[in-house]
Amino acid sequence: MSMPTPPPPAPVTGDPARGAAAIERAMTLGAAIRTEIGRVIVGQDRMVGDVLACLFAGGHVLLEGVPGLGKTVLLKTLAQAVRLQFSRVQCTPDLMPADILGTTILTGTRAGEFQAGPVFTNLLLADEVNRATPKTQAALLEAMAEHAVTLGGATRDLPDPFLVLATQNPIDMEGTYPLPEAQMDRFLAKVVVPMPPAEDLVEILTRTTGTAHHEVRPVASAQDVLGVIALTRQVPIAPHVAHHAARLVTATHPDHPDAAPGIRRYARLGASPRGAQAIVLLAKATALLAGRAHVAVEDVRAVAPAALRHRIVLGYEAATAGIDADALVAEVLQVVGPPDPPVRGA
Amino acid sequence: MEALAVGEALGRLLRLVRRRVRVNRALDGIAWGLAVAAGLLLTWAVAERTLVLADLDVAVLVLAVLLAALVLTLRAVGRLPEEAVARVADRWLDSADTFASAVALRTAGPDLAGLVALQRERAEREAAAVDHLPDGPRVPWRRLLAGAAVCGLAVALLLLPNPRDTDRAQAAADRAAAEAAAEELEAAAEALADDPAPTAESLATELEALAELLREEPLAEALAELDRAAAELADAAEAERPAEVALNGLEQELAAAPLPGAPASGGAAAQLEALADAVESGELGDEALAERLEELAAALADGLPAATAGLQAAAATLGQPGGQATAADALRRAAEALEAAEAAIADGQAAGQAADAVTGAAAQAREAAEGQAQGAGQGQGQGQGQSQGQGQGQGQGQGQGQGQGQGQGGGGGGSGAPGSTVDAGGNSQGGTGQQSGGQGSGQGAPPRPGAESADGDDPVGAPVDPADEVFLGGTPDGLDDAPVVGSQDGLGVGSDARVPYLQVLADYARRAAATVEQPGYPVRLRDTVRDYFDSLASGGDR
Repeated sequence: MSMPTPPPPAPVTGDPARGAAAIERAMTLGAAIRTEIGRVIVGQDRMVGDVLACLFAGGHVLLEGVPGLGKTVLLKTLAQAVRLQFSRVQCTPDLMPADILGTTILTGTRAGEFQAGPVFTNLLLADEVNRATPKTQAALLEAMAEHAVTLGGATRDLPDPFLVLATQNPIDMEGTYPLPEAQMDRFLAKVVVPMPPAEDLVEILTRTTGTAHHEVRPVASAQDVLGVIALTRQVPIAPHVAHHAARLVTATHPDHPDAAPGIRRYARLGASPRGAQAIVLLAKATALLAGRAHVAVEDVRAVAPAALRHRIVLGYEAATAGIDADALVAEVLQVVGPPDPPVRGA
Repeated sequence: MEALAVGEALGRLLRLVRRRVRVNRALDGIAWGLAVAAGLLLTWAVAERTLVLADLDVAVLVLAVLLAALVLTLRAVGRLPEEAVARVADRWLDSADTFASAVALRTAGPDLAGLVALQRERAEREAAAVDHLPDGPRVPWRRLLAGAAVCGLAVALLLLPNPRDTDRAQAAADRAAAEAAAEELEAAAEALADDPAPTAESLATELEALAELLREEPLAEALAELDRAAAELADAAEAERPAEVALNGLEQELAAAPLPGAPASGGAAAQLEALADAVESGELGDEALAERLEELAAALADGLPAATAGLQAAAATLGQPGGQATAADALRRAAEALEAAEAAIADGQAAGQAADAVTGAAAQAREAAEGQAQGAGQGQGQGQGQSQGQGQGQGQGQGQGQGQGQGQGGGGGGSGAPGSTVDAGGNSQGGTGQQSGGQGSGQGAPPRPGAESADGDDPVGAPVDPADEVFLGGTPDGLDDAPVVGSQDGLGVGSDARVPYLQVLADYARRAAATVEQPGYPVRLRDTVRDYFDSLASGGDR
C-alpha cells in the first residue's frame, strides 16, 4: 500500500509592509551615515558607498590609497557616526600581537588577569596595516575570520558587530610587509581611494584650513547596525543573478575555460569561493542602500571590482607589464557580459 | 515547494512580451529562411551555369521554399519559459531584474522580513504601469534585404538563357542513346542465352555488363569500351573462321560425295566414324580411298590441322598390311577433332553475333547522340545482310557511307548476263565496305534469275544444289581485294550506280581462279568454277 503523497508545503508569504519598513529604515540609516560622513569627507561618494556596503554586509574593509586622501579620517568618522566601540591601532614594524590582542598580567592575587587589547571592540581601525610584521598581521587573522581570539589557551569572543577597517599605502614599500593572500581574503572588499577632483579639493581646503569644526553626531546604534546586517542577508537574489556572480568568480581563474585572456596571461590564482560570497553580500547591501528588495545583475557587476581585486594573485608578468588587478577585473567584466535571456528574439 | 502564482499585471506583461518575442522570432526566422533559400538558389544558379546539370530548376525552387519554411519554423517555435520571458521584459524595460526576480523568487524560502513579498508587490506595481513595450518588433532589415537581393539575383540567373542548356540537351540525348543501346544489348544478350554454343551464356553476361556500363559510365567512355569489346569479340569469331571455312567445305564435299560406307545424310564427323568402323572391319582399304582421304586432308590443312593429321595418318596406313586398325583410330581422331571444331565454331559464331550486337549498339548510340544519322550511303540496294565466310565475289559498287564496323567475309559478288550491270551494295551489314568505296558493301539487289547471289550472304553458307554446279566461295585470305574488316549496320540509300558487266568479269574470273586453287576448296567444284567463268567469258565475247 503506497503512502499518500503529502501536499507540497505552502509558500511562506511575508508581509510586504514589514519589508518596506525594514528597507526604509535601512535606507534612512545609510543616508544618515552618509550625511554625517559628508560633514567631514568631501566627495568620494563611491568610496563612502563601498565602505557603507561593507558595514551593511558586516564585512571587513581594506582601504588603499596614497597618504592624505582621508582614509583614516573616513573610518574615524564612520566610527563616530555609528556610535560603536572604536579602537585604532597604528601598525608599525615593532607592533606585537599582544599589542592588538591583549595580554595576561599578574595581579596581587597571583592570578593572571587578562588585559584586553584594542581588538576587543566593534570597529577596529588598523592604520597602515601592511607596516605590521607578518606575525602581528597573523594575529588579526583569527579575529577577522572567527570573530574571536585565543590567548593562553582561552578563546574569547569579540563583540558583535566586529569590523576591521584597515588602510594601507600602495607606494613607499620600504619597511612594509604585504598582506598574505589568506588575510587579504578575509577582507570583504578592498576599496581604492582615488585622488579627489579639483572642485572637491577646493572644498577640502576650505573646510580644513579654516577655523570651522565639523562635529559628527552618532546616528546609529550597535543594534541598528546588527539589524541592518541581518536584513542585508535576507535580501533575496534570483538564481540567474547568483549564477552571474559565480561566473565572474570562475572567470578569474587562469585555468578556467571562461577565463579572460588577461587572466590567463597575468593571473597566478583566481578568487576563492569567499570572493563569490563577498560579491553577493556586497550586492545585497548595495541593493538595500538603493532601496531595492532584490539583487540585480547591475549590483553584482558594480561591486565586483571591490570584491575581487584583492583576491586575484598576480604573476610576475603582470608586474613587468604594469598590469594591476583592477585591469584584470575590468577585462573579466567585459568577457563575462551581462547574462542574456535564454531565449531567441529577446 | 509550490510556486506562487504570478500577479495579474505581471502576467499580462509577460504575455505581452511573449507575443513580441514570437513576432521577433518569426521575423528572424523569415530573414534566416530567406538567406538560406537565397544561398541555395544562387548556388544552384551558378552551378547550373558552370556545370552541365540536370534541369532541376523547379525542384530546387521548391526545395528552397521548403528549406526556408523549415528554417522559419525552427527559428520561430520553441518554449518560452516564464522566467526567460521575465528577463526579456527586464531587458526591454530596463527594470533591473525586477520582473525576473519576482518570477524566480516565487519559490523562495521563508520570507521573514517580507522582502520577497515586497519585491513581488513592487514588480506587480511596475508591471501595471506598463501598457506597451517601448520598441516595436525587431525587424532584421539588413538580413532581409541581403536575402531578398541574393534571391532576386538567383531567380534572374535562373530565368536568363543558360549557355549550358545545349550541353544539358546533349547530355540527355546521350543518356537516351545509351539507354536505347543498352536495351538493344540486353535483347541481344537474351537471344544469345538461348544459343547452344558453350560460351553463349558468358557472352550474354558480357553483353549485359556492357549494357550496364552504358547506363553508368559517360557515353564516350562507354562507347570506347564497347568498341574494344566488339573488336575482341570479332577477333574471337575471326579466329574460328578458317576452321569454319574448312569444315563447311568438308561438309559440302562429303554431302556431295559421301565417304564410302557412310550415310550421305550424316555430318562429316559421322561419316568419318562410319568410315572408321568400315575400315576396321576390313570392308574398305583400297588406294582410291586413301587418295580421297589425302585430298580431303590437303583441303583441311589450313583450318583443321588436327583433323588433317588424322586423315593423313589414316591415308598413310590404309593400304598397308594390318593398317586397318591404325587407320580406323586415325579416322576416329579426325572425327573427334571435327566435333571439337564444330563446338569451337559455334562459339565463334556466338562471338560474332555478340560482336555484331555490340557494334550495332555502339553505332546506334553514336547516331542517336549526335542527333544526326550520318550513315547514309549511296549505292544501289538497300538493306541489311550478314555476310560470313567465303565471299569471293567482286562487287563493285559505288556507295558512300559512313560507319564503322567489322564484317566477315567478302561482299556480294555479282554476275549476270553479259553486258548487264552488277548491283553492288552501298551499306550493309557484314559486307566489306572498302570494295564499294564506302564502308560496307556486299549487299546488292536480289540476283536476277540465273545469276549468283549478290546479297551479301555467304554463298557457301547457303545450301548448294549440286545440280546447278554453282559454287562461289573463297577465304578471307587476302586474295579478295575487299579487306575483311568487319560488319556494319547502317542504312543505305539506293543510288543509280551501275558497273558494266564486262569491266568486272575479267577481274572476277581471275580472282575465282586464284581462289579455287587454295587448300580447303572443294576439289570437285574447282573445275565447275573455272567452267563457269569460261562460259561467262565466251558469252561476253558474244
